[in-house]
Amino acid sequence: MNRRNFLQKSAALGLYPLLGGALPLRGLASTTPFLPNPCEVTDRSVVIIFLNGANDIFNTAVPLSQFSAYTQFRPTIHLPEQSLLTLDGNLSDEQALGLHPRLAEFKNLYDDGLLSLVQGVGYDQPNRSHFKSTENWLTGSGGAIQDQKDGWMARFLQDRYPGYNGTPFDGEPDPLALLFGNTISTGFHSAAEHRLEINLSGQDPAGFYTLISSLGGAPIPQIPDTEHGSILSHIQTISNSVNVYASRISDVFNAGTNTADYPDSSLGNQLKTIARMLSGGSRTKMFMASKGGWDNHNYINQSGNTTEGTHANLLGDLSTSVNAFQEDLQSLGLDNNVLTVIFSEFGRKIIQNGSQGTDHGTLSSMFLVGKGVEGGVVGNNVNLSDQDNPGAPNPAQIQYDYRQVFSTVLQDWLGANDNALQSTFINSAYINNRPSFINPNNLVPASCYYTPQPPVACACIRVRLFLEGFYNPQSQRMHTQLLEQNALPDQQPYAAIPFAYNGTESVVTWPADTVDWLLVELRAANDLSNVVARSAVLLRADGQLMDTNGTPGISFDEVADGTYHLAVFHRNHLAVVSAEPIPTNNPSFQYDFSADEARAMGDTQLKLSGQIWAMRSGDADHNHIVNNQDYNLWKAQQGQAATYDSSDLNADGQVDANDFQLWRGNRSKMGQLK
Amino acid sequence: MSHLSPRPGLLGKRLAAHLLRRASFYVPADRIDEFAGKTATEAVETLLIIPPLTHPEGPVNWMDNGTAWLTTGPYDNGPNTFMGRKRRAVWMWVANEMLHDPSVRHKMALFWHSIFVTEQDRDWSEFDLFRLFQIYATGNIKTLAYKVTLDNKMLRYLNNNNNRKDSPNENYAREFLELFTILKGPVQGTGDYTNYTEEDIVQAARVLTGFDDHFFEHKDPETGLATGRAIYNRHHRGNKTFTTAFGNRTILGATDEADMYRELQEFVDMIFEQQETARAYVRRLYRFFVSDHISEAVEQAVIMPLSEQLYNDDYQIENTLRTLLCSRHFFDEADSNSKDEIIGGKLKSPLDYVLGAINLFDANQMGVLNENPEYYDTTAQRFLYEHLEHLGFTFYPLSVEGYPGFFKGPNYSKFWFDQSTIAHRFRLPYSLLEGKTVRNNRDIPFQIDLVPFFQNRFTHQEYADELVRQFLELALPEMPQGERFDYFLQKLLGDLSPINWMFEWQGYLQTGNDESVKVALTDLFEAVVGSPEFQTF
Repeated sequence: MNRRNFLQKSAALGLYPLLGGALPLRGLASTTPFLPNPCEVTDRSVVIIFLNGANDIFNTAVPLSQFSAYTQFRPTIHLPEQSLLTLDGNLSDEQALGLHPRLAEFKNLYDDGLLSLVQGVGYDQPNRSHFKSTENWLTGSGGAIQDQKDGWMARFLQDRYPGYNGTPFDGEPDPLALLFGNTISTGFHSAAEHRLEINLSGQDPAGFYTLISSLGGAPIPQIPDTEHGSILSHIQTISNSVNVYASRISDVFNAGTNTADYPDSSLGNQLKTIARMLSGGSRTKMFMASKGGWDNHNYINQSGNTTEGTHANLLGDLSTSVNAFQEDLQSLGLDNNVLTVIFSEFGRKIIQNGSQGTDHGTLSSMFLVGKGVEGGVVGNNVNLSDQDNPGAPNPAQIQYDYRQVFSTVLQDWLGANDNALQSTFINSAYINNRPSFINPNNLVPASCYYTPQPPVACACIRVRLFLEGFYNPQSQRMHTQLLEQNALPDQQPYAAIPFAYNGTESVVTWPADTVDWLLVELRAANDLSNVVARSAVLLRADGQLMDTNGTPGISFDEVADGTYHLAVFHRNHLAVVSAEPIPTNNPSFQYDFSADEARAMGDTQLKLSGQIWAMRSGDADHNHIVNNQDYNLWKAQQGQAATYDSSDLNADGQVDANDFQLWRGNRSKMGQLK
Repeated sequence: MSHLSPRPGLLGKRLAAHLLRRASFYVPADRIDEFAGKTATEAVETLLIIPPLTHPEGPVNWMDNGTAWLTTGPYDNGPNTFMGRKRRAVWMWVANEMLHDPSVRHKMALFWHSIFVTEQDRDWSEFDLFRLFQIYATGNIKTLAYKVTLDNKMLRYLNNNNNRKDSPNENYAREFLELFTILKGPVQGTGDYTNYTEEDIVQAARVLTGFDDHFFEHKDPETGLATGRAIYNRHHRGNKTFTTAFGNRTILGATDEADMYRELQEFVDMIFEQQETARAYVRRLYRFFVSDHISEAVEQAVIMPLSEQLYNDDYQIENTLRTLLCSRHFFDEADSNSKDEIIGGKLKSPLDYVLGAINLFDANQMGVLNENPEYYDTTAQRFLYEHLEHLGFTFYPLSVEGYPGFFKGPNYSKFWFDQSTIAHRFRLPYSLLEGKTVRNNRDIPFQIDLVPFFQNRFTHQEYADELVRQFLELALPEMPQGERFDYFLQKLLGDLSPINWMFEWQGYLQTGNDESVKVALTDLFEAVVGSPEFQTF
């Protein structure tokens, strides 16, 4: 052990993943926890670079047609005209810009059509406090919307992935958001108290797993069989489940690679890590990186040599880091999936101050970089002579609210529909009149927008499951012919032996997409034969179990909170039992029998059908074995029309050879409950 | 009575620490040493001596020279911005009393607070109700239940202030039976919960008609605290006849306002005359202090005799508590294996975890609160409020059922530790080492001064295994053995030799330069406080 080791550890201590929030989230479950993937944009991500401290936009991109005003307002800190890199000779006077000479890479990105600049960005009644304005930008506040508590990125992600509770779910093994640098993470703070992000600031992702898995220390070698031991086991079990992301982060990082040369700077390293994680398969949706040092009230540049100095070095690092990132993404084949957005919490004054620097201002510009960008300049230059007293751009010159810019990102790049934007940014003024900067090839078409699904309250377990006999691998849904033919019984159909379930569940109005009735049971975690509770529920075409009102999720009356095995019965499929006990007191928990064969206890209990694992058909006599007795039932009915008959294994209204084929495919299969 | 007979002999450190952790929040090292030399009876007697409160005047106004606040007049009419701060000031005051109370009082006050559940209300009535829990901490439950019924905050929370003869509101009547006193028994039939029926709730609600909340100035002379009032023309004047669950008892309707209190008292007495009421409290008491699990054997050997004691004492709880905490059973010595059931068999509640650690590691640098009133409005308050909230403890439980970690089966104390609270659990060492809040690194007046702590609290520090053993003995309910002990030892040694540690420690003593011993002690501290074992007690 040495001091360095200690310092590293101390630094790391502040950086535990915040998977959980304050209070356990109650009653948040989802109507559609499964991702639609209609238009192949779920692989896309956004990398946000926050220039913390307020970049001086007027010494970053100089309005060329106002050069004399620029020198007049900035007599000793202005950049020499001949040093400026003309961004684009074809731009009109209102848009013409000269970039700082250290932004050569930005100029190249622009020339390649990979960079877009949005001018005159801010919000009404701008706040000039770094902290408050940063908070505004991250929470979607400012102007008509004040003091939002949660971050807009959290609002967006929660709409996009309703019911997300900070653990991996099917198809999305990664944390939805990752945070780098010393950014405050307000943007991801969620009012619902489930933290969406993991803060990787200052971490070595390769060793992240080791660090996190040591949270509760080394595993205890021998846990005694005592009350004390049972508490210790409980703690270790929970800790292990929380560590799920930790190993994934290390895994994607270690599986990934970099191909470009990055500057060895904080920002360079943050972007390098992001590229490597993406190349290792990370599906994280939002990355946030940050770079500080922009609050240059004193000596923004060298006296007499204004192209050098603090600001020049900051811009140089930004330019080379972003360029390396873009090169890297391109050669890794990831450039179609990543959009980079660069912002500062506000701009600076037009008029320089008395100490060769600039004070806090109002409007600024945002940069967007990536293959998805339609290169160009959006909006006109700020009129340098139209100033708010004292010396900052008159806020009335605002051309785009920052939320309009992000709205374009969320809609044109990620496919959020207007409702999703509305719920993210609250006020329609901030989602209308958006700037355009995504190129037509990468634009999400309106037909592909997704609609946010509001979470609904339920104290329930969400379960996903498919029946082989009903499932169509092409549509990835089960058919609903029984519903369409009005063949489903209004009363639950499991009263007869061997189910002998006497529940009174019945349906008044059939929920859309109902497939059939199921019988579900909780069985004691340590004793499968102990039936703790039973309930008859409905199965929806997308695999979701729901109650008789159509609310997704199943619940049981009078059951002590705890973990139980879940058994699912269907009148002609082999019953299955969850491989692991399922908690009843975690409303956002979901058990997906279709994701893996191992989700059902026992060997070969589920059958692969297309992309998913389904319950096996054929047990028409419900004795937990597919055998000749089932065949005999089929034989007796063969060739006849059937209404809700167990021998009609595919429930198409005919007992025929198709049912025989289902039976044959599962012949001699024995259920776990036999 | 072998389960409940007093444990003979001196406690020693392990059992002294067990008793102190379960029965108070104030467990610094020297107190464990002191109690180690006492018998169980002597030790419990010490815990039952209730000292004056640190600040009986309640929270003070930190914005106005620390003048007393909630005992001198109602202060809930100020600007909205202050409401939340004032409410949190009440909680801050409670936390301060908990931190400084060497007796069992605040464990018991928390016990009542978690049974007689309410929610946020006017700041002065929050103070009043918690004062009731302090006053009757080890006192008479029946009296407490009667006074809680007339408490302003409770009258509002469960709507009894709207319970009138023409428009009865059964909310309080129902919860009083179901959650506060006798508790629901098995369902025998429609509306029959064994211990009472729906009809009894109707009758109880009638008894309770006409009791309304009242002004701050309207005091109960016995407690000096504000109390509700009786309004006769809102009262149901007829006789109230209960079912067989209460022996078909009839309570005569009150004849005037003063007689309403007689009627209420008769009703409370009737419920407490049921043996089942005593059993219900004793089971809760047992779960709170002893174990999450009540086996049939424990029911017979512990719960039954204790509830008879409580009943025979007319619900004066002190003796029952004394019997329980002195008992062989409490120290897991009622059978041949003294290591399998009780000690370390509960998961620390957030209060036990945070307040316990502050005292255990001498980390309270806030001092006595009312002498430093600025802490009412600083990160001390935010830390105690927010860190606990992140651990799943809100000052008011989220539901009238109380805190699941205390009372909800089958998991009981395990409820305190889940995915949503784990991060802040394991970040406590960070806060205490750095003296910072977890979320935004703001200074808090709780910080362990690590090297002096190890220097002052232990002996023979230069011997690594001896030092680690002393620290583990102080911090953990059971001494880790073998490989596990070596794991903690290696945290101190950093895979170097014990000789190296000896040189480091001696070097520190000679030069005063604590840099390198601090590194090693920090590693040890993090490993121990961040271990699953430290979460148990």
